[in-house]
Amino acid sequence: MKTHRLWPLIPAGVVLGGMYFFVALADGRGNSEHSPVVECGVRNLTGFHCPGCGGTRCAENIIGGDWISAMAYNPLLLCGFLIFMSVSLYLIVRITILGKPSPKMPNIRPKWIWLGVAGIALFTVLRNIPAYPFTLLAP
Amino acid sequence: MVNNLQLRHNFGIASTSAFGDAIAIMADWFYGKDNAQHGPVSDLEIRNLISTAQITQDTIIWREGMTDWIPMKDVPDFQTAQVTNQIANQGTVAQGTPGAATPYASPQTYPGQAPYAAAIPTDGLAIASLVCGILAIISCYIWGLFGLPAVICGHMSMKKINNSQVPIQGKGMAIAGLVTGYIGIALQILVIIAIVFAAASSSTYSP
Repeated sequence: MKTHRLWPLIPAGVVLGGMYFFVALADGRGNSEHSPVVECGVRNLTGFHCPGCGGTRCAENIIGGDWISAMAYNPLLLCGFLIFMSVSLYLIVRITILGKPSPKMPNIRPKWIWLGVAGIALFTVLRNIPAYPFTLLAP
Repeated sequence: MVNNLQLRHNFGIASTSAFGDAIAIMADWFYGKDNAQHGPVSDLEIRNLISTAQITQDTIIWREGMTDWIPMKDVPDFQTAQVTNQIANQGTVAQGTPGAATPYASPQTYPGQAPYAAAIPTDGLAIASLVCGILAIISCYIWGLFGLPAVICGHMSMKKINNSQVPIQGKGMAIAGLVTGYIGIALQILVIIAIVFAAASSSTYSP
């Protein structure tokens, strides 16, 4: 096994490790007094939900295996997590296991990235609308 | 002078249009100008662009079948056109020939240039900058952690795109990454100042 083929393991490991570490810091549902993780500043100052709101509870439920609850707290974060893990798995199989060359970043079209940005922006707007179907998106 | 003889010889060929027409049928050229890729244009259109000085001998061009983008001066098809243009512009034959008589051994690849893949390449640094910038906006209290790499990647990407002769996509993403990154850093600084003030005031008023 060549060392330079192992890099796809790094981002996946960092994200999973970071999630476990963060949830351990947050120490259970709601922010307990002993937890160093504090409430979202954007929510406290403006009253709006940012796209990351509900992220701690979402991460707790992803780790706990309750993905339906995770979906209820922050569908964007769950989708992002699943997409990230799928891409990581693809890269690990393709590069680390099969040893094929890594796909080239210059072949990514900017419109896909902009589509993602538009999706996040739309999600942020929708989850702040205080009417029935949109309240499902709020944590 | 050998140069003069060569120039007149080339001038003679360029004035007979049969040579140019033969190539025009099979060649569709692309050229890089103002950080963008233009084309496909025909051989004759390229000659037009040369004669109107819209593209120079350093303009990078490419057509199907070539392994890489090369400067105009290294493409033998257009050396006659360039020489004619030079004569027309300067009215003299004083300058040396830009390609025909000069054995330029120019590099075939340029740093940071991906092989032509039927489309303009996107700068990876710009993508990295925008992704970090978005994370910087979303992440609570650790904006700076993502804002810093977003700004660094954004500046590197802008420098690369602006200095590149070959068109590269992603300037918009680099700008967006820079903006979001700086917003993240600004939020971080504000929060640090707020915490410092809070700590200072609480220690002042504590009994």
